[in-house]
Amino acid sequence: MRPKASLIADEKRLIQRLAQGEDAALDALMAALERPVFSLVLGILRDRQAAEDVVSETFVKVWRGAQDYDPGKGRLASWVFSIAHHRAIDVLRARRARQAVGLTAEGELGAYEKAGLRGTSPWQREAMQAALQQLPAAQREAVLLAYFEGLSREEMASRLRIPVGTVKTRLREGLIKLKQLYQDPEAGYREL
Amino acid sequence: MPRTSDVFEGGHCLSEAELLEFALDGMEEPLRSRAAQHLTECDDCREQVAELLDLHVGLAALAPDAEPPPGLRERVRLEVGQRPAKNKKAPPK
Repeated sequence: MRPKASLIADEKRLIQRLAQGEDAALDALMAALERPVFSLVLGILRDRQAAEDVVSETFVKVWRGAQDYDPGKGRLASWVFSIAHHRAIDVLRARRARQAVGLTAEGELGAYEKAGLRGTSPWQREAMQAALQQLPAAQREAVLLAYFEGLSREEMASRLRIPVGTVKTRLREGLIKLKQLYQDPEAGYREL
Repeated sequence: MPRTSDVFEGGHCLSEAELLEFALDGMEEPLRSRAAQHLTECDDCREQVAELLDLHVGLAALAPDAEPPPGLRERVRLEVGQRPAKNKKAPPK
């Protein structure tokens, strides 16, 4: 497996500084991750104010949780993105429940498949794009709908006009394959 | 061969698909709560979820690039400044 590029230089030291409550550590963390985290959250919520709220909550949570940071939570950037994604999806689902509408129009997933114009993590983006392209289109669609739109199985089935069981199968098989391909870019070729 | 049960019975370890769904916020309630409870008790599953969180970095990189609002960093600074001082450790000497 090839080494993973990190979004944060000297991550271990930064975690220590955050845990010690060093103000400059928060600046360093936000300098590295503010933009990609905001881009992710805005991509999910499509609302700049709501995205700002979620990103702010995310970094506050990281700051306050740094003292109890457990390396078992994964790498620092992964932890930060996971907090932001989880909260953004919560907000999106709550909004959808209130409005009983709001599913993104069909066809917009292409924006993610083409990727950001000026992303800050080219290795990760290229690796993920390559992995996604090796998934069958139906699995790719299910993964992206779940990740970026937080659709439930039932909502996805309704959107795609397929049985819920088919959605579950596509999503689970797609996630497993994506994990294999993202972590080991040659996995897809060995199966050929 | 990964197990792909549709009903997560709290107590047993999560299947590969369940670990992925949990890590990427794709698991729905009440399964999510049961899985979360299991993770508090199972080091192995917790470590696997931690590894899978790396997928967030790749998926997040697919989002269209966007400029954060200029006041965001200051807002966070102000919010963490409200934290009680006693929770803050002194930097090392």
